[in-house]
Amino acid sequence: MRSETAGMEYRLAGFVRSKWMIWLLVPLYVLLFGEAFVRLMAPAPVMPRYVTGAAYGVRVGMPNMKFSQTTPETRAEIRTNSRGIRADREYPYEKPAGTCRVVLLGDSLLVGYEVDLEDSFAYLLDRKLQAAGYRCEVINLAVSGFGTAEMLVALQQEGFKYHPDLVLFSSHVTDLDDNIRSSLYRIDGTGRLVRDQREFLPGIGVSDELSKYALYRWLAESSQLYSAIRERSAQTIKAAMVNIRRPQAAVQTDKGTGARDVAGPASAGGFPWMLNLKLLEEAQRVSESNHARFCVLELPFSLSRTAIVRMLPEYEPGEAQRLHVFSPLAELRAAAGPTSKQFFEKGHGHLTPSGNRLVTDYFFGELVRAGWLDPWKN
Amino acid sequence: MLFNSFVFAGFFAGFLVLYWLCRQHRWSQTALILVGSYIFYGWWDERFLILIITSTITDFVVMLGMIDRRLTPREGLAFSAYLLGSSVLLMLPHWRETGWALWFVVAYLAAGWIIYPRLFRLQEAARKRALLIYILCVDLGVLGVFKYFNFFADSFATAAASVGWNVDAVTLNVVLPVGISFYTFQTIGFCIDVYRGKTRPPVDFMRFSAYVAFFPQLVAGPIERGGHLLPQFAVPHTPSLQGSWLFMWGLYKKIVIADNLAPFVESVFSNPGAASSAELAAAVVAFAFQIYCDFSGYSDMARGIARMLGFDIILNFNLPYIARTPSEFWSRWHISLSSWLRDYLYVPLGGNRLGTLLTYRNLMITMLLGGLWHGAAWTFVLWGGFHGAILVVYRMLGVDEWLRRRQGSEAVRRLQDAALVLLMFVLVCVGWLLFRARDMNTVAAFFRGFDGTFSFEPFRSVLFYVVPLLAFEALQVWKGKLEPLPEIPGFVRMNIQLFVIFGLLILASTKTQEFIYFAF
Repeated sequence: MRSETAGMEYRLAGFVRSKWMIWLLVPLYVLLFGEAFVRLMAPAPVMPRYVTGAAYGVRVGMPNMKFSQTTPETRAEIRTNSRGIRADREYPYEKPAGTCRVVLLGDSLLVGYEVDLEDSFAYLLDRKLQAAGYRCEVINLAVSGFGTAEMLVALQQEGFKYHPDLVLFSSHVTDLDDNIRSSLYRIDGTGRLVRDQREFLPGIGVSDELSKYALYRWLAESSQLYSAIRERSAQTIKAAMVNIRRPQAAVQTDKGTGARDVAGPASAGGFPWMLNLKLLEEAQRVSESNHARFCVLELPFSLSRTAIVRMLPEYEPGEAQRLHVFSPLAELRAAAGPTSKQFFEKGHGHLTPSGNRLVTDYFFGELVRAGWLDPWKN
Repeated sequence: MLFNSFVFAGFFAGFLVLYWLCRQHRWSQTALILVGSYIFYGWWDERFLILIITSTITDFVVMLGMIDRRLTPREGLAFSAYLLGSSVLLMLPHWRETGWALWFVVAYLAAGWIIYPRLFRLQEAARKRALLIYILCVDLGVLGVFKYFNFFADSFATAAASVGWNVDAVTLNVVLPVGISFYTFQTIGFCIDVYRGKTRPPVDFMRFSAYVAFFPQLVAGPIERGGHLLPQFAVPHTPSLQGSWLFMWGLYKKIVIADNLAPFVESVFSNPGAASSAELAAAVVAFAFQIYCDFSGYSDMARGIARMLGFDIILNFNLPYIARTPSEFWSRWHISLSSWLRDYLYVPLGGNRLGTLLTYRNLMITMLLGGLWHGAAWTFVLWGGFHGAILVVYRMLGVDEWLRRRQGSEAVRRLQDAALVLLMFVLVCVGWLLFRARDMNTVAAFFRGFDGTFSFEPFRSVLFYVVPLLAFEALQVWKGKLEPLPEIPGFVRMNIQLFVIFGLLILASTKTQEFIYFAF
């Protein structure tokens, strides 16, 4: 018996000293070191974003998910319904009689990343409209990472199924690069907007596969090291894709217009801004042909707690009115101050609960002033 | 091509594979280095390769002339055809804009064909001197045109205007070719060594071309010596991973420390009037570490890459911020330039052999020209003058001499050393303020802004990046070695290496900044 135990101890000690053990322990130690490094030196926001591919070729939220996002500043819970919409209820395609529907399309700012559902713009707007006596439903089809091109595809393929009476697109500085990167649309030789690629589903195959595994989900929701590396890699890949596709897209435009200066007609914004405007115009056109009003909500960018900037190029005279562009820049700036935080600073710069409330109050006020929803007011 | 770019990573990976394939063949390996170096440099603007090729041919021919080796007409024709052919080829993509510059190449060749035979009618000593003057005129002339023409033209116009004489400054808007100061000084140094008989001239043109254009140190040094680097091309090398740690540490210094400090420094220096006293002080300290990590990071990367290729490049930095005196600082900071200035300027001026006053004069001239080497701006001249002045003052006070002779216990000596290091660092920071300031108004704004109030807050982010550097340098001092890792236990070594790797992955600045010394 004693010699058997001794034999086992000997084999165990041998295993501990063996190269197999080293191969096992060293990578484990490296990962633990990395995790500790990130937590101590550069705490990273842990912000999983579960998106999958829709049949119509752009991303959509993963259905029936429940996960949390944690940053050094906050913790938020994200829940999606059976269609991947961030909501605490289901929305049938058929519109209830006598009800107005507002469909929102945007990126993570409009999804309400870094805040709980109850503090998100869509939820607050929905409650505010109902409290004010409007028979309205706000359906949030925003998806993290969306640019205007993806919003347009999602609107046509999914948004109109909800029979909206009002369509709202968010507009943010990241849209310009996102539109180039997705290559879903381009401007042809005659200056018209035409569909280019049929789909844009970056990394969806891999993330769909990985999301099946509990270990991956745990990593995505717990590891700051994983989040930091994933975010940096994504930024690098995004920048590379824009750099590759921007000259191609600009040259396609160039051939038709004959203008060599791609920073040209749409003044400071150049080709990316020109493409963005065409996409918004198209969204407005298709909305109106589907009997829905269309408007744009510009969301500014925060450089610091007190420096909130627009970052988007200027519209041509009359263009903003034609597209019904609303901008809460003045309200956000007025509320800015050393002790007032409208955007998160240690996460990914999304709107804080107070920022969301401010934008909601502003937009609600504009809606009331415009009187667009008056037919549905009790 | 920047070392800290994906383009360079792709280039170097491909280069290493080819280099390994050529490991048995000296000639093909040298040819590969030459072609690779020209691609590396031409990535910025291929037209500037014409300057390098011109300099290479001229220096080679002149150095041969110094040992009485005259080119045959056939060789002369071959060099002329090489220069003209490569110039045409490199100009082709820009024919319309800068094709006219080819006339300069033609005129230069014609002048060479006229002057060269006449030089050989002179006696040997006179010919050697004439050849040296010729090469100094050519190399410094090119440097002068590309680096200083605008500066002197503008300064002359400003000075004339101040006395009521309005002169239209003829400004060519000349673009500064990357690294011109480095390779020009490298070739000038080699020529002077050959003139002095200290080094044999190169005999293999391709090897010399590869030496001039050796890509690890082409654009920002270290400024190599012919006698040290050129002989290393005589044997084939097997590439290895030795040097990869040095490269990574250099990359860490550049993209984690220097590039992350850069935005804070820029924000304060661009508007010093809006900054508090503590922010001004923190910005100067941050710049001291930014420029150190930027430049020494580049040098480490250059040495690391060269080591991976089997070459040894001279040391350029040796813990400069632990210097106790200005002379110690200059023996630790940008060593290849300060030793160049010592050997080819200070010593020929008389060094310290001509009496006290002339020694001070020589120090001031050397440091003023050293300042001007960094760039065409009066702030650089002022920076050089400031360092010249503190060298003179320390010499007058006899501090170096006192350090050599002082008595006392170890503890007292250490305390004295610490006080001197701190004082030297403060003086160096004052110098960096002059160096970094855009103009004298900025300097004045800094001095106006220092009101004695202090808060720790602005220093917090500076220290965040600087403390790991100081910790590693403490290890270097403790072990008495610049590469202390082999000396320490494996587990500690692994943790240091992991820290650097994760620093590169997580803390690296997302905004790529060019190396500061590329502009010099």
